[in-house]
Amino acid sequence: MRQYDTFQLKAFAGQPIDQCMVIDAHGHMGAETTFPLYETSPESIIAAMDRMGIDVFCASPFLVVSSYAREGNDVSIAAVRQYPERIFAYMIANTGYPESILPELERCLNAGLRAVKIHSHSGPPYSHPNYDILYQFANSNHLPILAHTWGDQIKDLENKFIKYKNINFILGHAGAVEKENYARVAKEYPNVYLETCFSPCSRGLIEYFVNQGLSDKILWGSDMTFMSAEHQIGRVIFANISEADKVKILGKNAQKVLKIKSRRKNVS
Amino acid sequence: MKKDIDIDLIFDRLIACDPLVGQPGIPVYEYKTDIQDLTNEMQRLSIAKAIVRNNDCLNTEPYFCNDVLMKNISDNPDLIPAWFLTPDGRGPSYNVAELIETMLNCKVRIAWTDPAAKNYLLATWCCKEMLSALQQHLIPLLISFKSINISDLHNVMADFPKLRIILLDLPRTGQNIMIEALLKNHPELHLCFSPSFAVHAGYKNLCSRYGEHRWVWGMGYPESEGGAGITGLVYSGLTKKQIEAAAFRNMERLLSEVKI
Repeated sequence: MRQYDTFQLKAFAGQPIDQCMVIDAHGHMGAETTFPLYETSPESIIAAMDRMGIDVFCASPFLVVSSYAREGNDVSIAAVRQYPERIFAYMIANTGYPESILPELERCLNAGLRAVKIHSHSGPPYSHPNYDILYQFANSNHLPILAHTWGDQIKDLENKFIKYKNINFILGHAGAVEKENYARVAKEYPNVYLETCFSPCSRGLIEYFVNQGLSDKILWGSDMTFMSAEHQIGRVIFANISEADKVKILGKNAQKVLKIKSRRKNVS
Repeated sequence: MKKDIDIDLIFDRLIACDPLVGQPGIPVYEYKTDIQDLTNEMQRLSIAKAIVRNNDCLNTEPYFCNDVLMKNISDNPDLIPAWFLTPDGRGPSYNVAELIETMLNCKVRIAWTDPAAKNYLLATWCCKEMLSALQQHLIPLLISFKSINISDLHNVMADFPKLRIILLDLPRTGQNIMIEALLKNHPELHLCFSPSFAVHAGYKNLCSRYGEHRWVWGMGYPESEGGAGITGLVYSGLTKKQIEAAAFRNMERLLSEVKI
């Protein structure tokens, strides 16, 4: 009979992970989706988090792929106020409209948001001069940035890793393509981290990054409610890696990078 | 540890309905995608049984590949073969009804097909004999969502209302309008809960609206981490009864109801 680790035993029993902090570093909020979802309410997110033992859900509004940054940030601010211990929000900006960027980011900072999400789906590329306003703001305020990436965007970001040393860059969907390039930049730059969510749940991808010596630089994310966190967490729980590395990937690394101080679980 | 779910029952009976074995022409994965690797994965994840398809059917003569599959799994009772079928059957007779009789005589109770790979349309005028025989014997037919025109699927299910179709590889793109319409229109349509079909709150929502009898479970082999399929099911918020239905009861029932 095969021996399972404590994470796997919890999963097989359908019980929440309670032996370490679990932080979902990549999610979305709001009902403004490009295709209909079964549920988008904060309550459905919290219910899913409770089933799995997720302590904190770090999310940006779906409107990150639009030019409705203010409306999107309002959704995030409301959710954080409703669930201050459970929801951590990334602020967003309309990067195609440079005059709007700084006022909106300052408004969000004053409202208590402490990280930024950027998305290349709409608006200019990450190397566009408009983005320098956002990078300078994040750098001055020591705010981490979660960047949607799909391989190509790394070349637009790479010189920013050097220029803006106060920013921890979290590369979303790490390994969706060109996993070697993601591993390279995570090894080369101390302020670059990898976030895991990827819809095919590719077998072996988590193990690949861990075997590259990157277990301190991987943050687990789900893309909930675009996808289900229930599936994405299984990629780490059942990965062929040590329990110590699972503790880091599922929450410890995100606690450090995103400066999350949750004390929800009594774990060391 | 309090048991919310009967672990032993899952260990004993969990059935993966979607594994595809067979080495691609060029190495796509960093691991072999053969029977040995599949059984290792099943053991690692405590999956009791798997319905196995030979992926090589898509790229070469499918009936030769069915034969290879039967040979390769002959000593493993936990692997349940699914034969690839085409509407023209197998030479030299090219009689698909006879082929399906042969399949049943070989104790094979489930089939799969891929119209896109074999250059035919899943349409009654093209597949009448095959669909008729499958319906007559209540043989479940596995079809990948990626290989099918949804309108074609609707039309054949309307023409063959007792035909049992199991849709695999469903997308994670939320509450899919076409899939919802198919579920409403065709009671014999079954969906596979798998890593690709990773929809927030989706399984619970579907079970509450369509009952617990229309879902089977898949591990996404070889592409996906099968553990994602396990957590996707056990953490879904479904009741124990609903989880067991998707995990094994529905598939066991579908196989047992095949008319010999």
